[in-house]
Amino acid sequence: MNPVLRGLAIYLFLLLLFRIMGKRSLSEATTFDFVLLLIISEVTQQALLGHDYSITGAFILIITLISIDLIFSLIKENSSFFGKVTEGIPLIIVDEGKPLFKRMKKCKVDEADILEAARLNFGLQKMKDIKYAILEKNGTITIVPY
Amino acid sequence: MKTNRTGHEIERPKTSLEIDEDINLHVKGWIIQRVGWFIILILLVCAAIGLFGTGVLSEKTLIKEGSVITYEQFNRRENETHVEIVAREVSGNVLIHLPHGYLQSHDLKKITPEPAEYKSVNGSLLLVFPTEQQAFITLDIEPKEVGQMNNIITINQLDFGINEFIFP
Repeated sequence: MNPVLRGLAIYLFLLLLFRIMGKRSLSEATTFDFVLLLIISEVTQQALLGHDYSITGAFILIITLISIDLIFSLIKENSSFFGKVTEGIPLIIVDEGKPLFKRMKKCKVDEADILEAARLNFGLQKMKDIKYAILEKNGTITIVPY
Repeated sequence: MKTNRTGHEIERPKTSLEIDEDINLHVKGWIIQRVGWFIILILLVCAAIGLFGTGVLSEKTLIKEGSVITYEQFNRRENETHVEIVAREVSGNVLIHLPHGYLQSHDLKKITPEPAEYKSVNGSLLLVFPTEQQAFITLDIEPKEVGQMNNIITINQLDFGINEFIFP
C-alpha cells in the first residue's frame, strides 16, 4: 500500500479508536498502561512501515503524519465543532462540592480519582473542599478548591 | 451531603466557570462511544474466530478423489500463510498447476518438499513431485494484493477452486 494512504489510515484509525475508548483510557498511566502504550506503538510502527525500511519511506510517513496533524489543526481553527469532535470537550464532574455521578459514570471516573487529583494538587482531603472538578480534554482532572 | 445517583437525565448544573461545556455533544458522544465499544467487541470476536485470517472460520479444506487442499480463505496482505496439499501419485508423480493469476497475487516463498521440476506452461507454473503413494506438500505463500481472489489450482488434473478474501 502507498505509504501516504497507510499513514492516513493508521492516523484516522488511532484517532477514532482513542476517541471511542474515552478520555480516561490512557491518561492514568500506570506501569502496565505504559507497557501497553509501548506495545501499541510497536504494532503501529510495523503496520506503518511494512517491509519498507528506506529513508525515503520514513520521510514520506513522517511528512504524512505531520501534514495530517497540521490539516486537522487548521480545520479546528475554523470549526470549533470539529475540534470538539476530534479532541473532546471538558466536562464538569464536581459542582459546588457535589459529585455529578451520572457524568462521572459515563466518563469512567469515580470519587477516588477526584479525591486523588485533589490530594495531589492541593492536599485537599474531602469532597466538600472541592468547588469544581473538571475532566479535561486530555483526560486529566482539574480541581478548583473553595 | 445528599447526592442523586439514580435517574437517567444527566446533571446540568449552572456554574460560574467559563467553560465551553457542550453537554448535548457529550451525551451524543457517549452514545456513539457505547456503539463503538460494541462494534470493537464484535470485531474482536470475529478476529478470534478467524474472519480476518488464521482461525476456525478461515481454514478451508477441499477434498476431491483422495486429494486434499487446505488453505486460509481469509487472509491479510503480506501475512505469510500455508497451503497444505495431500495428493495421491499418478504414474509416480504429483502434478500441481498454479495459475498465472495466483502467482501474480501471491508471493511463493517456499515449497516443501522442493519439486523435482518446475515448468512454465502458458504463464502458469507446473510443479512436479515424484512420489510413491501419497505426497504431503506445503506451499508458503504471501498475498500481495487486496480483495476477493478466485483461482483454480489443479492437482493431477483435478481442479480445486481457491476463493480467498485478502484484507489490507
